[in-house]
Amino acid sequence: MTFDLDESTTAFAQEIQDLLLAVLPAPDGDYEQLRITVIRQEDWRSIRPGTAEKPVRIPLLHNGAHVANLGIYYRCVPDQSRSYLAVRRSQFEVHSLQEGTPLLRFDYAYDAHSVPAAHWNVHAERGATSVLLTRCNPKHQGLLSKVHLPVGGTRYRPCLEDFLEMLIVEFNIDTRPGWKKAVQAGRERWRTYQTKAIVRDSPAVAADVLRQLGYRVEEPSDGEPQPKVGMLHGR
Amino acid sequence: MTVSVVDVTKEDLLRSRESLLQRLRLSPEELRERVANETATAEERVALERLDEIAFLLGEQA
Repeated sequence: MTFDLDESTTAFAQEIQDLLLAVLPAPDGDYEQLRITVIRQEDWRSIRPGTAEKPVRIPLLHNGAHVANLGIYYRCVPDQSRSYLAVRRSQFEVHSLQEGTPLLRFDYAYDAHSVPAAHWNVHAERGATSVLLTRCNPKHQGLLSKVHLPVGGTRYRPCLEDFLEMLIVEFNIDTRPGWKKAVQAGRERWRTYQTKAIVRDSPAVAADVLRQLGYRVEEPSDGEPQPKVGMLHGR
Repeated sequence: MTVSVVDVTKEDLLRSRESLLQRLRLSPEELRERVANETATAEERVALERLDEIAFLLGEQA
């Protein structure tokens, strides 16, 4: 099957769009506020709400009142083999209406070196954390929000569905009827996709597991593919 | 509802960046510092997101 960058990008963006529309009600029924835009320049793709010129936050409601905002973006390119669309960066964050700084942020950067590729930042300062940070690491700013909490690297990171369900369950954000089904379907799609990538990272392990399950699996004639050590070691 | 798809050129992005920086009256470094120090307004955070997006679309990142 031939990879089509535009088709893949639009399909991925539409999955995000459909998820948001299935899960979140819009203020006064104005669903334009949830519309996703794909911006294309040569091989580079940005996917997020807003116009081409300006990203916007998605309003989050509680009992119909606008109480917080959700920020989302994905930045994608074709993978090196030009076989599929690869997310290079993504961010999900929740903001209160009172201040610019997010409350919680989940960041992913494929090429991160100094921080975990997938991490949470929690903007909730506490004196004891600051004391420990500055006592043990004088180079640190001493802010919990500058601590990068690792969440499984590229393959095992949470998906947008996980972030939305956290907002719904923990913050009691308003939902649309049937939201859970949409979240579960999206999560299944995400984990299936990631499973395929994980098998490519560790083909021998995957083959062993399949043999234990009763499958007959043979090595390729040109030898066993090597594991992608970088993906297994990366944080 | 279908997603919007917008094609932009390098020239569009460079113009957009120049116009954004003029409106902000801050250098990208100053803006990044304000965001890092948690003193940026919501608008400034959106502006930094847009600047980073432009850099990505121009192939200046990753």
